[in-house]
Amino acid sequence: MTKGRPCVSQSLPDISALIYLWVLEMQKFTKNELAQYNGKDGAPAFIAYEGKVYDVSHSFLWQDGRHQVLHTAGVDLTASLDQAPHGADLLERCPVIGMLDED
Amino acid sequence: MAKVAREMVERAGVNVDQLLELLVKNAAAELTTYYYYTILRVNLIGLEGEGIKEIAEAARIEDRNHFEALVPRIYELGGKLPEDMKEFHDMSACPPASLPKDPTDIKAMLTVLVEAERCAVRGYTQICNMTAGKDHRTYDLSLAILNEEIQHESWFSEFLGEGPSGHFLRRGETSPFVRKFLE
Repeated sequence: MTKGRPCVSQSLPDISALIYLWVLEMQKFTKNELAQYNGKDGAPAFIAYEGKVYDVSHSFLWQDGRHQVLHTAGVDLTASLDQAPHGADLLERCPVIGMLDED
Repeated sequence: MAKVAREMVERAGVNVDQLLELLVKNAAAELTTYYYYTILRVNLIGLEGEGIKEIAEAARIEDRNHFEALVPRIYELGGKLPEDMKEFHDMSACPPASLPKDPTDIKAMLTVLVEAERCAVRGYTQICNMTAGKDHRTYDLSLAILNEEIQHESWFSEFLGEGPSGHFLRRGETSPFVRKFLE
């Protein structure tokens, strides 16, 4: 077992182990890297929420990296979602393509 | 443009340019929804389809009324509608309420309808939050529209069997909340 990592069962891969492996496979984004995916000038539109990075490029509601006038892609919107007239469930419609590196 | 009316809203701390963009986007959503609901309505046929045609029609007419009610406020605040209809369509605050691949699938039809109404409920809630206690006229208008959008959502939600809401079909005229803005 690697120090500092949760133990992954060798026999029965339970759901937490599968999630852990999935997280390991995910691309990591720093905040600066995320900022490049702002949906402008043909760039993909990615946003972060609670550590996950979502690809909202194909959402009608995120055209040109803007959402309902007030929000832009390429940033962590965790705090903003508390003020939004919808919950995180709507984000689940968009694919998770990575994890936000908090460092 | 109503100069003092805009000035009052600005002085209350509202970003009027942002508010105007939201109002135009929601006006676009109303007019495009009116268009898409027209297509949905004509495809609501058969025993099941005819059962929801009446509420789809009421929602369609009321969404057009919402567009009509929003436009004067946009111009009062110094905004305007785009000259290009395609641009107007594409800037909508809500996705197109497109006809499902199988129009005989009534559940799919109702899902399109309820999703459109839910988008509208979110949009007007946002405008109400932004204008409450600051821009009384836009707040009053948005609240009136919100009341009708919530009823539309409830109608379609009940047909999907999501639970009772206590709302009934319109008796009499459409737009009981928004009518005062339609002079």
